[in-house]
Amino acid sequence: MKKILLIVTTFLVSFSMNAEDAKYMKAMEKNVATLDSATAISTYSEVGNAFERIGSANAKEWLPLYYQAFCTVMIGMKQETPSKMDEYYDKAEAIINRADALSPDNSEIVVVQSWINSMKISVDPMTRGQKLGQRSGMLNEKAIKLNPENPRAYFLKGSGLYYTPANYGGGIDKALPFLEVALEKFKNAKNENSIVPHWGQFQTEELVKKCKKSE
Amino acid sequence: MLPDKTMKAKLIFFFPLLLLMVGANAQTIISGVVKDSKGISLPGVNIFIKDTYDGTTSDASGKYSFTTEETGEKILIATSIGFQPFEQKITIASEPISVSIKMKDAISELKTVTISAGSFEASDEKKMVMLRPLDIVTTAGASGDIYGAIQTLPGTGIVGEKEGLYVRGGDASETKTYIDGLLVDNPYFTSVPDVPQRGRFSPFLFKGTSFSSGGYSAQYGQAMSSVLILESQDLPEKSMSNIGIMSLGVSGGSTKRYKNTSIGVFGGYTDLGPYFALVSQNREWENAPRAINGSFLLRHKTSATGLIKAFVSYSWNELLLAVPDTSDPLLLRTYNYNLHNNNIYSSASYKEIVLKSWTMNAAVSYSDNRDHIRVNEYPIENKNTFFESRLTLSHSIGELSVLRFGGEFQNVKSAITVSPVDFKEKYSAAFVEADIYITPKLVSRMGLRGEYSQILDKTNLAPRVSLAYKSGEFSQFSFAYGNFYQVPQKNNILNYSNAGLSFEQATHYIFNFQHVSDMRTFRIETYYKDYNNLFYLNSANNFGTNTGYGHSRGIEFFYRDKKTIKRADYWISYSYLDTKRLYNDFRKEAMPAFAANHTASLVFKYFIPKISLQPSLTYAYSSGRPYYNPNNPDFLADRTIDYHNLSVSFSYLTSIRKSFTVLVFSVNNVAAVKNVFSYNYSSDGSNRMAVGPTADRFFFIGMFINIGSQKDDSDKYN
Repeated sequence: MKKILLIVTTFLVSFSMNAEDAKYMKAMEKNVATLDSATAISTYSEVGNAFERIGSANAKEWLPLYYQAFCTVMIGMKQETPSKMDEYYDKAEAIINRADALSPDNSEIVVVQSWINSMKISVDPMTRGQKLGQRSGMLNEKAIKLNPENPRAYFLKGSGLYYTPANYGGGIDKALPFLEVALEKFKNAKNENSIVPHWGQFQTEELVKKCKKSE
Repeated sequence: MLPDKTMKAKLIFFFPLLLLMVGANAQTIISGVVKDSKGISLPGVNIFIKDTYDGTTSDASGKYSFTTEETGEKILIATSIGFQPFEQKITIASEPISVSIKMKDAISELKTVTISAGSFEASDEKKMVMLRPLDIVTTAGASGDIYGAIQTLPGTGIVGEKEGLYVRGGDASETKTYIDGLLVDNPYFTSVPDVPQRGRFSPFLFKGTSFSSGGYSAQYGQAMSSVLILESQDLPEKSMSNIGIMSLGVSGGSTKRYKNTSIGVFGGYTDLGPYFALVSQNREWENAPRAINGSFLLRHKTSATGLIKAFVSYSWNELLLAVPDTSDPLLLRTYNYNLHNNNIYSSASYKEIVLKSWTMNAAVSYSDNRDHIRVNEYPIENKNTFFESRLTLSHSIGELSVLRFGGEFQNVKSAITVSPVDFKEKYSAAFVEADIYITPKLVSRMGLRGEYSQILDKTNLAPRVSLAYKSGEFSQFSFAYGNFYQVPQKNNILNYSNAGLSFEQATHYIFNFQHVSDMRTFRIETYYKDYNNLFYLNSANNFGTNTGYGHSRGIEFFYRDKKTIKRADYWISYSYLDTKRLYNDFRKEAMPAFAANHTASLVFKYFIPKISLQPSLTYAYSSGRPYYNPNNPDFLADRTIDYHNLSVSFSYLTSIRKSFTVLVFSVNNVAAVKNVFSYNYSSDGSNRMAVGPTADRFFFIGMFINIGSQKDDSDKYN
């Protein structure tokens, strides 16, 4: 009798756990898919909020935080005043740092950290360029080192160089090799499921086109 | 073994339970409207039930509605950027629930009032500040000198013949410089007759500069008019080096970053000789100024929040100048003024969070300044040592309010060969100050400072009060009142017995309004400053007493605009000053020679990204200043001509072998306006000589290369 009770309880518990996992996967899949095709600020806001909800119910998962930070940066980029932009970038940084605490030395998270720093520079390049530029660059290098197969790390490096004037050590000819490496890595990428970070291929292709056009 | 009946019964009992868990529950609708504290609908707010996926985003009109299968007591949460999270307990049954949500503004730097009366801040870290540290370096006419850049701000006078900041009718000795909370005894290179000196410290050493033209915190003392508060850089992000090649000399430095430590070494050599050989000067230089300096910086992180800073700097400089001798009625004869200066400044500080909400800041400094002066062959030795220790404790109360208290001790020794007695002062002070936020929009700062001076054997108690109210998203009003004491100047104490002397004192009343948005800043400030107990020398018996007095009043404007002209940034400042005083050897109450009624400046910076060129100009104006004319029976009644100065500079940004490089070319006083700061009269009053700038124009060419570490150390530090 006891044995059967144990089996039943175990079954119930594991069933409900699997149900939780399935619910998490389902919610993530749905929202990541929406994010993949998002363009409007309202979509980023809705999806970002959904990730915040998923994250708060799954305090140990880094992916909801990762995507929430991603959406927050995207909304920040569409703000009109520098102080509004900063408000979103600061918030995004706080969120991604929480993800970093859950999953330290994660190349994907470090890419977003580096990206947020370069977005902060764009708000006030004259003042922030030097200090945050170093920080962003260092994080970018770290992301590559942590996972040399991460295509987003190369995309970020390439786009950083693309938007840096040649006088400051950037330029198209410097950016292109990194973007091409990124494309190569995108093609070889084997994503374990549909919710792990997989953005960036389209943006890389567009940037490569731009580079080739101006050459 | 087959299960018996009871087992079966029990299993049957479990099955509906299982179905219940898998099957759908009844759905409850939760809806409502989200508004901010002013009642304006908020779109984009995340509304959800705690620890569940159930929730939604409010629409454009702030409305929301979602369904949930949860039942019982739950917590409804609403979050949005810029607002404090909202939480409310709800009980979910089958009935639809309606919850109106009111979001409170998050406490953020942008939405919180700051104490602004009297203060101008340059910081990279804070958001709504008037200036950035880079502004100081790139201001034309300032020649990379902190004090030069501060002179473009309202409240400061243009005094071209002497170093120092003359603030709101105050003498240069009434402005003190603090580095990391420590008073700097010799912030400028040693004074030379009619040749203004630069500040000793490079603007690149500091991450924050706060200039207060009055009403400042009880943390600072011994300054009747103004304080310049400099905050040194923290741990650098990574190792790097820089090289500067200038028309005046060379400089270089290197910083090495380790995991929790950084070490920096800097040095420079300047020699104005070659430059003076090319460009004619208005002074008779026998030996052009030469200087060598070196400094060492250490930063060490002791924990996530603890930081030790240490700084040692040494400089040597030498010059020989022929100065007109006023004892010659024709002012043709000169005397030789030869200066050798050795200066050491060292400081160390330790900052750490102790017991959660307490921050401790302990600091010490020691400086030693020696001047070997020869006036014709007559030697004068001047030796000053200055020691200071300081401890500050601050305790945060709630999210915004802070209580601060602490104390400092100074040991000052000064010996000059022309004086039979040495100056020995032991000064101690204690202060307590509370910034109380009544609401995030209303703050009061109340402080009290007590000081004891051993040389005067006197104590004082100085109350300080500031209030600030944020009247709109970008605007705020601020008021400040305070008492400020100062020990009379060293030479006055040395030359005239200190028996019976007391602190000099000023009272400030300041009213300020400012409107600071991202791209535009407007600030208007008006003040009244009352001087009492100023050192006054009775010419009849050569006896010094504290019977001097004076006042200053004025109004100042500052406007900065980065928006109207694309890629341009400019600021305009204007100061009106009405001041009179009776002090030192004044014959009657008069407007002092360093004061001008009207001072204005325009700083304009433009950036042309295509060619990476930043042209910049600074125009400075000052109405005529009083000067002493022995032939006029009315004391200080004469005025010099108005002062005009247009300076331009061009910075070209480029990279040399991947290293960020800036090329700078600047000309001070482009139009070579013959400015007159004052007149030197021969002792008998028969002849006079105008004291103007040291040269009609000043040219500067420099190249600054920043070499970033090519080695990747990132994994070590992150």
